[in-house]
Amino acid sequence: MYKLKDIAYKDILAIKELTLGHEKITSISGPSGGGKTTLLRLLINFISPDRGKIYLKDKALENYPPLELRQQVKMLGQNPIMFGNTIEEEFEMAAEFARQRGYAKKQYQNLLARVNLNKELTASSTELSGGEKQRVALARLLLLQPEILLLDEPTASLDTENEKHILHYLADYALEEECRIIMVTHSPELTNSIADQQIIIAEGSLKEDYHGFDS
Amino acid sequence: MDSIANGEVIDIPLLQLLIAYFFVLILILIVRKQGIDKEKQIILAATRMTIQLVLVGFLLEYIFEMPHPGITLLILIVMEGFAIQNIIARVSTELSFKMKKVTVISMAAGTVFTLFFFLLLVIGLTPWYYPRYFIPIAGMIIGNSMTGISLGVEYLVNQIKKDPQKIEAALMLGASPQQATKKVANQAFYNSILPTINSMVGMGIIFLPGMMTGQILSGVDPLLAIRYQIAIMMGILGSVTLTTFILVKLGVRTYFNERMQLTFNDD
Repeated sequence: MYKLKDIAYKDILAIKELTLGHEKITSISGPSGGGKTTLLRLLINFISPDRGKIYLKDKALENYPPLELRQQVKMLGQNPIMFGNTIEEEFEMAAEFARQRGYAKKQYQNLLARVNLNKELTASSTELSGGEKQRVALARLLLLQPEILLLDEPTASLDTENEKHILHYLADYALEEECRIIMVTHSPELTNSIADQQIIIAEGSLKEDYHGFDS
Repeated sequence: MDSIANGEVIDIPLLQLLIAYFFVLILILIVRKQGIDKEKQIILAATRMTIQLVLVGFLLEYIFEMPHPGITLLILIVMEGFAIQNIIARVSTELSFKMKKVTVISMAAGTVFTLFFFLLLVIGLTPWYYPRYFIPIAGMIIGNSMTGISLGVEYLVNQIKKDPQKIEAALMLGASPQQATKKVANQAFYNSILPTINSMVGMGIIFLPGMMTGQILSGVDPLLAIRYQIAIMMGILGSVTLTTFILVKLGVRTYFNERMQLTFNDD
């Protein structure tokens, strides 16, 4: 889906050539400060490369009307941010931002169950723990069913059990919803078990691009 | 006694005016006694006020005697200039060039529209540039809008700087820049109009507004004075609303480029 051609962003990231998102799940790992988050921000067009071009479905990112691009590609940042007061409002705000209305409460509840969060919709979203917020933010994002999901360390605040659960759920989700997931991960050993493409980025450049997972 | 009953103004002879400075003296004595090292500032303020008002007094007398549209407009421009400069100086963070431009546009568009709307339709002033009405009313409208915009721009700029992550998080979900900044923009707008709303609530009970007091002192029938006061409050409300609405709408846009990327235009 994505093709990067000779891109550079400040002195943070420089990649000669890379295709990603063709497979269901792509994992991006590497030491912190190496440029992983910058890569995701480039892919959703939050920043533009100083040189080179990024193509999505053979069309340069800058040629997409911004809202159309962000209709197809959505992202979850490292720090989960709550917009409303209750969990229900989190879903509602997400739907409003995406201009996709008409969801039922049942869908919210299902998603909460799938991210393994046992909370009422009326529960306060601001008083949740870091890990719980992260799961609400993920559930809220999955509600919108984007074509491409960019996740920046979606399991960073989770314990190992929940991390495994979420990763397996994401693998199922990618399959069920025909969605491509590109995720930065801090624990490649776990993530790589579900990833079809594994990328390692360090010191601002591509160190490894490995395709080869077969399930 | 008769002259007062007839609504004539009591003259204040110069010597009696000097007696009023007694209060400045009291302040200086207190400040000195308490060891608050601010005498210079107080003397400077009292002196500045005196000189500025004397100059304005002569200037207004001259202008009122020979009304001219060019001079009225010139004064309007000078007032706008000082107000805009005041806003930019008052905000705690350095404004970007784009934001300064937005401040100028919203201030000018909002106040000029309201001023002419007010003078022509509400007061029915002819000729429109008659300075005895034009200048004080312009002063009130511009002054209040200045306060409103200062509060709005301060909140807007600081909030976006403080929490860009929240705006980006909304963009990540597909929000437009307007959607992503709606909460901040609404609060900035509300902060701007709040002082005007509050002063409307207290008016007539907690305090008598300056313009109305002035008119009553100069012999205007209180019922006419309140009509003017009500009208000018509406004018102020209108101007504060318009200027800050334009400010918030255009101000938010300075933080995004055409690719809807959040930029910090610290140019």
